[in-house]
Amino acid sequence: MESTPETKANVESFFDPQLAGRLSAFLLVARRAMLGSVSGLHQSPHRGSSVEFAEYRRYQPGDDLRRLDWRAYGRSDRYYVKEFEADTNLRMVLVIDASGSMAFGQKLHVARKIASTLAYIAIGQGDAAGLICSSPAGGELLAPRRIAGQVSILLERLAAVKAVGETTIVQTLHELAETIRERALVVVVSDLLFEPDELRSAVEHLAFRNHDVSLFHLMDPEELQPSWDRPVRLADMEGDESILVDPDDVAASYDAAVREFIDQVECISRETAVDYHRVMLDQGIEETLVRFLSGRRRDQQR
Amino acid sequence: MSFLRLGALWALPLILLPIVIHLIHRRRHPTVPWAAMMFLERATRSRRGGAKLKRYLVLATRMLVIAAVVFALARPLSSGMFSVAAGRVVSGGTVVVLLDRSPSMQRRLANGETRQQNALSNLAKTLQTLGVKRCTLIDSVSASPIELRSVEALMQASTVAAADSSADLPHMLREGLRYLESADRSVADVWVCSDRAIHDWDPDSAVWKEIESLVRQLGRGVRFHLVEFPNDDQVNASVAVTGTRLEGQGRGLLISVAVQSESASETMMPVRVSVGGVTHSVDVPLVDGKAELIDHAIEISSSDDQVFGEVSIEADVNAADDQWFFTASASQKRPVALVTATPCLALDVATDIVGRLQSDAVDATTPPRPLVDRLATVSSLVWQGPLPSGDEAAAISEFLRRGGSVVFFPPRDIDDSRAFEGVGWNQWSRDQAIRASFDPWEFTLDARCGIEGQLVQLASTVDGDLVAGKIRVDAGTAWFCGTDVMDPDGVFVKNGLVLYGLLQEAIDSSLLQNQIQGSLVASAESQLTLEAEIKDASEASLLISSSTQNEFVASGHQAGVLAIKGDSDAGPRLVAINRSVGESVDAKIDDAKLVSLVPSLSWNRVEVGDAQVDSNRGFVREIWGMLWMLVIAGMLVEAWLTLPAKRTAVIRERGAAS
Repeated sequence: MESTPETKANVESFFDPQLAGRLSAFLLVARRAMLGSVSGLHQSPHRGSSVEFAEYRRYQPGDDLRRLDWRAYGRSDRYYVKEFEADTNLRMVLVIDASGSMAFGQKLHVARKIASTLAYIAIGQGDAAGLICSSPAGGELLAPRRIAGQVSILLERLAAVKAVGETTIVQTLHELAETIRERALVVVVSDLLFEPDELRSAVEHLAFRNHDVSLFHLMDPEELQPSWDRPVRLADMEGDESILVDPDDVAASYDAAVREFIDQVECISRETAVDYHRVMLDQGIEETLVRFLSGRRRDQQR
Repeated sequence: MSFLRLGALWALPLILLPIVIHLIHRRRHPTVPWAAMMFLERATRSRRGGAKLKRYLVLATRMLVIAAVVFALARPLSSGMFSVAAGRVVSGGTVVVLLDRSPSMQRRLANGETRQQNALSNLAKTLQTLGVKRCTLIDSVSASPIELRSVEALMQASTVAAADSSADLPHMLREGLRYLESADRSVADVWVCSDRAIHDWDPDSAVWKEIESLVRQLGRGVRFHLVEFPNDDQVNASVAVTGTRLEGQGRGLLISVAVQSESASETMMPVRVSVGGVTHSVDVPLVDGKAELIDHAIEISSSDDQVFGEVSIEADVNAADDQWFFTASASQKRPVALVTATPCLALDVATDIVGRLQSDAVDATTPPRPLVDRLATVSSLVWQGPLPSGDEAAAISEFLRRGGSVVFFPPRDIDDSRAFEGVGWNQWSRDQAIRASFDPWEFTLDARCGIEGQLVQLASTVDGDLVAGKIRVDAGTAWFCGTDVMDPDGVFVKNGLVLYGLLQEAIDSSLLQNQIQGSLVASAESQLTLEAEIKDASEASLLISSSTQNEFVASGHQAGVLAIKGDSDAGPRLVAINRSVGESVDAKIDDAKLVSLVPSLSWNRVEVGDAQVDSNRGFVREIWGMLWMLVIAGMLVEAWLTLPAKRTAVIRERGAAS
């Protein structure tokens, strides 16, 4: 696909090669065993031929005699086969929420930035990266691939995405859980402005399929502490509804609602072992991504 | 609530200003695209009711504040009962004050003022507050309109002075209405300062019908305010002389005194009798708050044919009924009316001996009008025949109410279904002669008629059957004697002594006898009588004994003893003037009766409360100060309600930490 100058300009607005280069120093690793198509940096659920010892197993007829551990036979007078961990590559699917609410502030821009940077890192370390943008129009899944041109395709997809309509990300996640092969890394970038119970069911569905789910929760500071100083009419960015709001009336209860929502999301993340990261839009994403990458490394080593 | 500046109330629609501003403000709200509607929905879901309520409260408070400002500018008046009349009074209506100066209005309130003084001072203050410049006074003494140049004149001595005459409220009210009618005043306020004593209001007066007609003519523009006094638990007692006569050529005074107390628990009442400069004290035992001292003998040193003096009791809550002036002269026969259904020679003779029988004795079949006329000039009535009914009964009841005595003897044919004041005759019993006693006499009866009813026993047979008894009817006494006075050959008639004794006691007990013996009831009629007599007098009359000697009270309206020198060489005639006995009767006209007197008249009751008793601040007062306090309080509440809610920075801090 030939990229237009406009697309290029768009891509340049959110993709920072220097940031991506800096973050490449961190490896994007899976927190659990992944199922890849080729050998890679990541642990596989199968035994393989890496240098990492896994376990002893009783010899069974048909096993390769070269893998018999003669020392163990000498000690125990029994036949044992020495097994080693298998290494495989990572399949990462980036799920971008493209509902109307993502047009608020810099949410979509930051989402693009996170997705493009992670895709660059993954493909750069030989892993596969795919993308799906969830919108009512029905975003098409860009299947995870590890080819060199995948980054460009993915960036162009990101540049073309528009935030419109009601959120469909829950439905997208359920479909994704059934569509992609097991043991993939699913990175969700969304403002999560839907009922937390729906989020719970979606991530539980993904976890049931042994996917490793990471969640980047985008929040605009304005949403946390609105700057209205007088009554305003607020128009829903995902529908036609509007509400007349007197800041004095709702200030306290709005704060409480936000706190309750965040508590619920954090609780769901803990209970479903989702790798949760809240991204404040007025802060740089580098720190968040460093925390994300290093955290995964730490989890893998445990 | 009433207002001194009614025009300011036109600004009342301004209370809608907060709502208008609120609506305008709502339309001016900018529309902002917003993503996190979920939070808003959650926030407003739980807060919607409270926030709406708060918003309405703020609006209501603002409206209240504006209303309070408008009301304060309108100079509101406070009074529980004064209602809207005040505003109209200020707008130029005529004010007529009817003032009851009768003795019952001299009862003192908790602050020591009499009802009359307190009502006047409060009324004067009220009218000053309302901006009334002048008013018209009709007091119970003059009973005619007096235009006062200023409201302050209500408090002048001639107005405040107490009178001993009763008030004729129907007459005063009629005069007030006639005054308004003649002055063509369709908008007016009539203030009635009276304690609603039945004696003064005379609910049976025919004048009330005329008042009803006048009220209808004047229309609703005239409002009537009745000043009401609180009931107090102070005990009042009154004294009245029921009879006096000189015995033994002026050497002894026989005086009969009636004492009445509002307290049934009092058992003894000291009574002082002052005559000839000497005061005698007598303790009179009270039974159920009442006592009667009959023919109490007092030795006097004077040899005059007539003496005067006063009877008094200890001063109490109403000093106006604690005194009674009297004159006494050698015994004089009192006029008695005789009514017989059957010719009774014995009664003719006996009545003429113990009293002065009015010449033409009327028959029981005589139409009631003449009977009423006759009763107006006698002190006692002797009635033989069927018990009275209809108009006769009404006339005799009224006579008793005024203090007269009536002696009833049975007719030949008894109608035992008839009764008077709860007493009736039983059938004759002529079987055998029977002994009977009437203290101190014993006598024989050959015919006896039983008496049915609750009476005080005076005479009874040896078997204990009632022969004669009496009952009190208001101030008067009705005597019932079940003996045969028709048969000239009867044992009772022939004996005669008991008949004379009974009639003498009955005639002597009449309270009306004093009027005939140089005594007058303080009233307008007495004033006319005295003025005519004084005009013809050779020398100036002299009030030789009085409790107050108030120059502002016309003679005839002030209690005391007046000496009037006639043309003859004889000494001056002594006239004792006293309040009406009815003034001592503590009976008030009740609400239902008050309304029924003039059905088309709507009374605005203005109560003399503790505040009026304590400070005489008037029945109304401006309350703008309270409204300004309300404004300040309202503004503080509004400020509190509109305080911005506290916001927390917890989320941001937690977001940064995670």
